Amino acid sequence: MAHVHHLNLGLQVGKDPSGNPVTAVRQSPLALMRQGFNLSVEVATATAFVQKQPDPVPLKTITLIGHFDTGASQTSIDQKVATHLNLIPTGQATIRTAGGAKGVDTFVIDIAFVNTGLRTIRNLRINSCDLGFNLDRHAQNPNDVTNFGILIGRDIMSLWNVTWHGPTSTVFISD
Amino acid sequence: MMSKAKQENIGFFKSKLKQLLADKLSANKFVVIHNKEIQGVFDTFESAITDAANRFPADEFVVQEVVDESQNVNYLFVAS
Repeated sequence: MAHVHHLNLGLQVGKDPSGNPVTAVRQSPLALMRQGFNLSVEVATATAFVQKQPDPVPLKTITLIGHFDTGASQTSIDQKVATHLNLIPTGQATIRTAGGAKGVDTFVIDIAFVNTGLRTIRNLRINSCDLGFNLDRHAQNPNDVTNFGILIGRDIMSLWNVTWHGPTSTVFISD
Repeated sequence: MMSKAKQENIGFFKSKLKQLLADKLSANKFVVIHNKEIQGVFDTFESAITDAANRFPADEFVVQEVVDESQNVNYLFVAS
């Protein structure tokens, strides 16, 4: 079992009524409200294909930002990430977006949660979609939370105990 | 990009979905389809993909969940 404690603290610098400098460390709901909850994940070719006999598929990995999305029943990867990893489609599914319902390819991956101790999930079935992920921007700044490549859906959340404390932008996860 | 063989297997699955949903042995399970034939029914995706990967070329089979997708609440943010 692992526990993850994700806390955002803000430093406030100002002056008191008499003009003396004052600094304070404060908690705020803004971080979770504006950016949501994002964590670094390693996405890899699925164990089922890497260990396939005969003709194992070469292992490829990428570490990128995953964005929590309680609206997604299934975890979904940006199509450009799927192409980058040479993922092989395993089927099709239907997703709903603001633009309506559409059929998308499904894939299988292994996913690990970097520096958390949370259990790696192997042979996870995922959907694909267009998240606007940019590989060049990712290469320049892999920690840019506005450039996420995968939506963490309720299929993964259902394996975890997640506590979301909005007023302090704090998230606890245990598995 | 999905291969022609996979697309044909998807077409086969769609044509049989109503029948598969009505059958208690396949409803809400995962089916492996190769050569437009059902090659196995599994309780979990992991067991289905592991079995299929070791029996068939990677670009020839599909694994589909036998569910009525209209019953899933799945609403994604997408860029376009």
